[in-house]
Amino acid sequence: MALLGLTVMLFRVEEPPQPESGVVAAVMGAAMWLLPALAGSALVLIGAPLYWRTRPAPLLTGWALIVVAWFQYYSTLSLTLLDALRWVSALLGVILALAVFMLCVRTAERMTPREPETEELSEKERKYVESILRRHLEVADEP
Amino acid sequence: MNPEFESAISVFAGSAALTSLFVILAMIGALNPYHRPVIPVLGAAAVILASTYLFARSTGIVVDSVALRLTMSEGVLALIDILPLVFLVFTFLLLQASLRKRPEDPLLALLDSE
Repeated sequence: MALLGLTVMLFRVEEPPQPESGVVAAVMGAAMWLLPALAGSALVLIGAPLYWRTRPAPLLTGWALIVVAWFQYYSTLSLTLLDALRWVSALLGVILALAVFMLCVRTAERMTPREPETEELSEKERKYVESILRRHLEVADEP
Repeated sequence: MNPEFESAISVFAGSAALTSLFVILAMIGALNPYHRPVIPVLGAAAVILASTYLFARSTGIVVDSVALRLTMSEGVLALIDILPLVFLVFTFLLLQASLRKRPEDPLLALLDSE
């Protein structure tokens, strides 16, 4: 779905109306540093020793792409006080939306009736579970 | 209204609305029989409506579907603005992951010595 949306956005037959045209222009502008950033991050994750095994080729290529991404970003950067104000406002908006979501989830969980306590296992069930555990722990069953 | 203040309110409303839209999409994507999504989805929808109202009031337009589109567009622009900050944090985490070393494990050392 995401790829379909991206394709429709990039390969279009006519110019989109406002405000979508502004969004498309901003996305195209950000893609200059965002694409190498995404590709570089993916390669670093493939090459990093997350499971104690390093793959040097993807790791180095990934870091090269990340450096290119930061270079691309800084070459087009022109920070003003208004930009900083926009960053703070955007972060506050995201935090507000997530806080409301978390409060709603907590409310929904509090309203969920508690399940009654599970009954104890019967003697037959207990023996069955015990035999499974013994088998998995490779202990011979008692005669 | 001061243009800087108006811009800050627009960005705040846009990012809150778009994040709530993402929340609703995530809830739809994670639907299962044990899920209770009604209250969170209503909460997110309320944030979208309130943000659209705030955006329309700050820019002086009518609260309608156009205002909703403009709010969401402002949200996309706002999130693109803060992506470098997210990438900065992510770069630091990637650096940590790249320099990761296997911790000393006495049991593994014992196995190696045998």
